[in-house]
Amino acid sequence: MQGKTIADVLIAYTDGVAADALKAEDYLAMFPEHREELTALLGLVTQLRRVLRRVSPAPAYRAALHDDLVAAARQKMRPALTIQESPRRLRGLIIGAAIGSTVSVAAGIIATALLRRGALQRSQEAPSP
Amino acid sequence: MTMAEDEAALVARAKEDPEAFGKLYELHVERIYNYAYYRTGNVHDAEDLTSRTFYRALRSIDRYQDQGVPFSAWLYRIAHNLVANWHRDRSRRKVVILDELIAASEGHANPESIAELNADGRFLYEMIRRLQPDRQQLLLLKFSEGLSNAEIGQIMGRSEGAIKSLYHRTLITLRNEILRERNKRVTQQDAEDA
Repeated sequence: MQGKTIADVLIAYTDGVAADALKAEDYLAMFPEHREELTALLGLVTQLRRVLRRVSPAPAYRAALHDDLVAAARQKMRPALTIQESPRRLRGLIIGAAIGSTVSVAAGIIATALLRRGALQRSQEAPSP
Repeated sequence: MTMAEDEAALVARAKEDPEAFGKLYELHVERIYNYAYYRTGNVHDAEDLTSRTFYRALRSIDRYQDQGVPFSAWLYRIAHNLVANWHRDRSRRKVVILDELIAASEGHANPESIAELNADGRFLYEMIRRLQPDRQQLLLLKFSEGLSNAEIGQIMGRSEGAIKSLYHRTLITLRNEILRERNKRVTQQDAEDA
């Protein structure tokens, strides 16, 4: 541990490399000028280890959340029901619709013209009073 | 196949397979719950935030990209953001006191709950909660999860060296806060006794 800093010692102690008291004393001896500070910090590490113990969720909660998440995942990952049209077929549909619209409009114009023409002829053939 | 490759394969499957997502949940639920529990101080909010973390993960897993860091780092980031929102919403409502948090955690079956700490333990926990969020996160990952500096660095997006010095500074800050608070309480007690 030669050349190590106080930060190195704290990490080594926390990670359990120097968990026993003898090793802690060795580390303290390495930094006689910081002995007081290091003693306090190593003591704090021991306290933190006691207070911040791992906790576990309640088994019922854990199981229920698992089931809910898997159900939600099924819902999300279910393939959507959409009709997939190929681009070629789609283009054909658009062109067909356009032609259909044009034919309808043209037929309407022709029908109107014929009706007007018929009406005009009838009015010309009618005997004048 | 390494553990990282196993995890990467499981994450890839979880994008399309609900059961694989369930396995990912099982692998990580304890650590996320643990993190949420110590950051909120009570079982009810820890459960709520854990659920929300995994629902958010499910919603976004399609966009998750493996960048060489553990999947848990991504989950911790989601949990961290949700906890930050939780604190923000709570601070708008009122100041939270530790006794209230302890009361909220009582009545739940949790053998290692904060409520079971002795007075010194509660005092230390109260001091931890006054630290900046990133320092609280560091202590939780170090003590509750037992992670190395390299692993913590991956989760917090910092180098191993940065974690080492942050840890040192955190311990010094915590010790100073403890001394300051103890002195403050002694002074208050003396004033009441006088």
